[in-house]
Amino acid sequence: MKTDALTDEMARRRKAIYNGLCACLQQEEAIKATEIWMQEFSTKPLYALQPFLSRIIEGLNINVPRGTIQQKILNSLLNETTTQEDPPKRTKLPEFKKENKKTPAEVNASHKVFTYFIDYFLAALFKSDSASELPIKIYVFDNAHSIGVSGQSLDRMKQWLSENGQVSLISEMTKEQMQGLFHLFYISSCENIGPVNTDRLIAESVKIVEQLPESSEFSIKDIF
Amino acid sequence: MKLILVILALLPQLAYADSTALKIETDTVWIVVAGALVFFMQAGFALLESGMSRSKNAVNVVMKNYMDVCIGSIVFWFVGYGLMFGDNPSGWFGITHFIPQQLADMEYTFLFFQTMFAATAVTIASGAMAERTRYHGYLIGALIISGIIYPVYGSWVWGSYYDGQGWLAELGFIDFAGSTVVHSIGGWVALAGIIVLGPRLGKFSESGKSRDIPGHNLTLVALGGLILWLGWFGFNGGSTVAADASIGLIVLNTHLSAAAGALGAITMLLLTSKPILLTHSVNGSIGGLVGITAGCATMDPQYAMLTGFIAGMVVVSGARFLELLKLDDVVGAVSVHGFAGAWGTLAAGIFLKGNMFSFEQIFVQFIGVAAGFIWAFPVALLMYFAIDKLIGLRASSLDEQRGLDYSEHYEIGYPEFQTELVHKGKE
Repeated sequence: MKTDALTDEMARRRKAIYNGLCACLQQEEAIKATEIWMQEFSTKPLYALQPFLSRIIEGLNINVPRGTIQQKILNSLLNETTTQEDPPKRTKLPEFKKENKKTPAEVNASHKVFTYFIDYFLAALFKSDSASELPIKIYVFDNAHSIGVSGQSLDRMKQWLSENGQVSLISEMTKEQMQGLFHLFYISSCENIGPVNTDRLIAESVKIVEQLPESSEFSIKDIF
Repeated sequence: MKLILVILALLPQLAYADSTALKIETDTVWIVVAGALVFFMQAGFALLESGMSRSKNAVNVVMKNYMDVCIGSIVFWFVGYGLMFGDNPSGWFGITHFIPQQLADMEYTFLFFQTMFAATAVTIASGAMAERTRYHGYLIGALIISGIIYPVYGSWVWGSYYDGQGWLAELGFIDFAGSTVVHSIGGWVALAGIIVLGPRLGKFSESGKSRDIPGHNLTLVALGGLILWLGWFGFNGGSTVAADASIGLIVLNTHLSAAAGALGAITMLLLTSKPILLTHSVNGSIGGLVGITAGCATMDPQYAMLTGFIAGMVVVSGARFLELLKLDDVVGAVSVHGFAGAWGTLAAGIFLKGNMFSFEQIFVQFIGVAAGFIWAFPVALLMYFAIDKLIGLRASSLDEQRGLDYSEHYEIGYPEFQTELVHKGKE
């Protein structure tokens, strides 16, 4: 469907990468490595594999020679077939190392209003349909890179997603990034609980958030 | 004495001349009034489609309907009329009367009436494609429908105004006011449009179950349906292209079929244990109107009712069928205009007064229906596919989230109560 952020082309590449990795790694390693490719390298030039190889060999402690992995991935990319398998669907979000640093305090009204809004929206959403929590988070997790957040901030956002809001959402997000993050939630929420319920929950959340004193400085409607 | 004799001799001719002039004048008045009623149908379409859409897309839907009339009328005057009604030696399309000027009075009247028909055919697709179509891409589509798709098929059936005859007309195809020429063609174009567009965000769950996305104003839907019903008296009654005595039967058949259409829709809902919805009832009536359009002049009233009743059932079943195929038709236009139009065209052959159940006639009707689909659907599919690739037809998911009123037009239909949900517009 066109509304999927994951394009057909991207899905095709993901399958090829995964099948190449499966040819030389354990399945669990291949799944993790494919996730890393999706999150950090899927928008990079397809055949520029060196940074990706360095990242997974170091990050996942893989002992297979770099040249072998590269060869298998290239073979898979060059001989794509329709029978290539997709990585199995995840049943939980990857775990992130907890930061030792204390969560930075919210520095401005926009961040506070946005965080409060998202938290309320998600709580209401998961209360209305608890089965939708995981697929919605996975979608946002997989596509978080598309909103222009990178590096440590991206990791922190993913940590926030995987730890049910126990970690504060990053405070350095720009308005455009907030819009992007909300849009990811909106798409996924529409697909999982339908557009009518989604709009209702948004309306409820807006009403709550507008009672915050910070709402006089920053209107949540700015991110819609 | 001589003078008196001359006057007496000329009197009958003077009377004849007077009656001929009167006939032309009366015909003109009726056709213009009927054309105005057909024009009023645009208001019905606008209200119905807008009411069935969410409030964040209300302006966009009305804008598309509004511009359909504007674009459809001008393009039809430039090329459509010539293609449809110009000299037609091949039977496939007209080759004269492009950019028509210096016509006879009655030709101007006819052109006005037919222009309203063209605008109707164009606007059918807008409702089906509502809530996720980019405005500019849609308008390019409207231009091609009114300039090529509608008039070419129309020439096959009605293209004998000047010289020559369409190939379907030569076969004896009956489509008095356009169940197929106007409505099915519009319906098949709409079908192509929704296939290229894909469904609205979240319309179908991952398991394929269809989710209801209710419109924002059911009162508008009912009012739109009633306005369409009224306009249809001009649509079918005016298709006599003369103020003659047959109009009574035509408008009676039209009315009975519309009423039976709603009953047919409700019956179908009851039989399938579904709730009796206003939207389905209104669509059932319109299905009845579409269905009787082909045979309203050649059917007895009881068969008009039967045609409408079945059309109403077809509308409900057709909508369900499309949902099973995961096709998102916001207002049910494909079912109402495409499927009910096809049924009505067949019914015009089945219940043809004086020659009922003639296999030969039914077969000709079937050829006409099939030809309409084979022409309109693939051409429209290609057209929308090309528009999508070259200009962009599908609105982005962000625009869908925000509503097309803002993203396409920078204004909203309901500023008082929409303030909670909408963003503040593009910067």
